[in-house]
Amino acid sequence: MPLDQKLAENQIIDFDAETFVEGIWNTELMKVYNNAPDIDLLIDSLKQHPKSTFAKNGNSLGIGNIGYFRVKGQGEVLQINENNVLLQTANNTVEIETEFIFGNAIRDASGLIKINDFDDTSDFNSISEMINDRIRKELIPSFSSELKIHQTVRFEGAVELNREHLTLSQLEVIPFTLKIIP
Amino acid sequence: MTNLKPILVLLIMLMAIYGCNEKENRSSDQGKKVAVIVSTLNNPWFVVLAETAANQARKLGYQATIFDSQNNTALETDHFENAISSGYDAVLFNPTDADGSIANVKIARDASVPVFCMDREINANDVAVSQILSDSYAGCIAIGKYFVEKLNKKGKYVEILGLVGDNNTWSRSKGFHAVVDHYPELKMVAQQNADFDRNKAMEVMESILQVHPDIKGVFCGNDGMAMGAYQALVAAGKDQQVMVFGFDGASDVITSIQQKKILATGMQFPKLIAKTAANYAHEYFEGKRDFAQKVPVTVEMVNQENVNDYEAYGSN
Repeated sequence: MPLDQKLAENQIIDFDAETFVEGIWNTELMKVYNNAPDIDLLIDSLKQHPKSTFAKNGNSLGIGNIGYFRVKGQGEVLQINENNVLLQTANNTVEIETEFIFGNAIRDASGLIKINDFDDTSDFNSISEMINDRIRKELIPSFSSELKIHQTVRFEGAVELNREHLTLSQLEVIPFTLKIIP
Repeated sequence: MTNLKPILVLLIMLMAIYGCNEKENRSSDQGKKVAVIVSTLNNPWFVVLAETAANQARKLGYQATIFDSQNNTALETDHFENAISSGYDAVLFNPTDADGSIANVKIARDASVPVFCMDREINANDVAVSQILSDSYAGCIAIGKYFVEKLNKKGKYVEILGLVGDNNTWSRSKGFHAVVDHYPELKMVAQQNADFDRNKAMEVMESILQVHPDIKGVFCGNDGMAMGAYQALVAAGKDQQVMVFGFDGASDVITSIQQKKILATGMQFPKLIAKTAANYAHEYFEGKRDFAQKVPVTVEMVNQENVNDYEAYGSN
């Protein structure tokens, strides 16, 4: 098949990811992230019992080293950078991503959406794109515009971890909710 | 004579049951044969995939033979037909074409020979028993982020695609663009396919450089093409100017990342994929039937910062 024809075919998408994500955003997604484990407790657990914590708290699609974890927490703003915000929680420094909101962390950490429920893998991937798009457009701009150093921020989100190369310093959190505490 | 008819029917039924039992008994034997049909052996990554699959099948007690489709679905059809007629009991399959290979898997299915796809997907969810696939999309999102950071969100770049008919080509491209397209100052000045082939990628890169000598980056859909593109850049004296990104985790690219010639790659795990496929065939022979249709295998980015944590083709 010629490249031009294939590129044109790729533009045809039947699956309505926007409606799908709208249908779960305020219900299932909100619920699982409201119930996320505290990030400091999760980090402690991963330090002490990495294997069992991966099994208990991590979600992954198939096989391999990568696991996705739901987290929530609260911390003081230490630094506002071009691509992220550094927060000091009770016991850790964490990085809230504000620029690179990409990938499958929110979708897969939720454990709600399974690849084998979709005939077309592109449809499955478009769910992540829609979730990330919504976070970039609806969550980040208002948060970033009001944020100041030393404010306290409450967050819910997801992190990606590699069980073979586990790094727990300055975890990168893809946010699902962000709230500046007055 | 009419009174004998029920007896004859009973006899036929008994023979059929006996035949089935005999087949089941045979199935518990370790004399089974497994065909490993691979898209090409003209790429070291697929050699690792095929050899690991065959070795794992042998380790499990089966005979295993590797068939090279040479990226040709017609030759692939011949291999399937030969495998069926030669009494192979399962196929560990790396397809040549997501659509074109479906008919070949159906040949096996119609002969009750289970097929387990490795690495590459077919566009049908009810033909193969299971498809063990690299999560190329997620892997290329990670590379896309790294690409944006390294190019500092601006500049001209080129994408070299793999086989147009292979889903991995598009999963990788879509993952990459899911990130990069958010940065309007990153401009893709050329997008061409080189069929996952090193020499073709070198030729494609040479001709692109004639028209676009001022590019800053090139994203290639596999490591072979990344090495070909890099060769063309060296020949043009532009290897210091242009950052090259690949995908696979092949031996020469891991070395090239250590030498700062290539910036990053997506580490796939061909040994893990191949062993999983062989183990699934074994479980199938043992009677298991409830396999997930798609089993994604995670891809990990190997870059300038973490290259020393990785070896070629990943872990087992």
